[in-house]
Amino acid sequence: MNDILVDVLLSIFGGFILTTISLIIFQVVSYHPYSRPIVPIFFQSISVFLGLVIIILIDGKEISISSQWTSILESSLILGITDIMRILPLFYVLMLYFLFIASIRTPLESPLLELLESE
Amino acid sequence: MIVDFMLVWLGFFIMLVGISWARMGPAFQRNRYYKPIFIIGLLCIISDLSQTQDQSKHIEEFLNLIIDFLPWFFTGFLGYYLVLSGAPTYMKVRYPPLITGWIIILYSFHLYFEYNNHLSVGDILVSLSTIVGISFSFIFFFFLVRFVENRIPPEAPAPELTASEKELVRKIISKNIGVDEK
Repeated sequence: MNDILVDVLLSIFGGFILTTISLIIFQVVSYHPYSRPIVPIFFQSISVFLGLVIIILIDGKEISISSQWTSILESSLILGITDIMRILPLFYVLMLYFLFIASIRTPLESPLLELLESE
Repeated sequence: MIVDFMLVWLGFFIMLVGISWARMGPAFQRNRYYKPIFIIGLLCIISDLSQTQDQSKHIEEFLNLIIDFLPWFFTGFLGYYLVLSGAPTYMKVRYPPLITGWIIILYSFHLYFEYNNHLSVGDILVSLSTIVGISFSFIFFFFLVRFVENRIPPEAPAPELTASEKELVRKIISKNIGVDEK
């Protein structure tokens, strides 16, 4: 397979696994009586496992119990974090526009806000 | 490999816990310990970066990337915070934090180019494909939550307020709008 295509696929699955694991952690640690996280966590765990299987297949290795699952998982997480850190400056530049607008705009007339400022 | 890098993953996990606690439930029920938890996680990562003995290429690249990332990101974050606190969003404009913030933001760009000059456009374009994976993950989560929520039977209509409850509501509203109860 083309090297660039492999890199792109690994980036996609890295981002998917990183986000899914983050969402699983979010659901576990922010549990409250009205949340129902069991079904989402179950299917998300399966999707992470399938993602790892696909990464092993992309690498051209055989799937077995002895496959280094933790190392592959770690590599995927590292790839996900690396990619996010690399593309963050683009969003940083994008947000500058909104920051600039926020810096120069005139606030709306509001008697309640004026009251707040006068206190 | 994962054992050598354990403190970084522990820090990453603790940071996620901090972010999750900051976002859980309604605003008035959010866990107030999210800030210290987040800072502890960050310190775990930063302290391990300066001590790690792992020499594998994979980890070394990752550590270098974090070291290149942190200076410009935290400088930029500080600049954003100052600009937003000085911008006339809700209050009148405050020029000292606004101008200082913009200067710090410009400096963060200088730091970015200083620390990341080895990155090519190709690397960034490949990295952009991670957005597809992130989007899939959120869409999948959205449909899972919708599936679970749709299976919950609707609750029975709430019973009418009792006389004492009506009186309590009347008193609260009277007090809030400043009307004499009598």
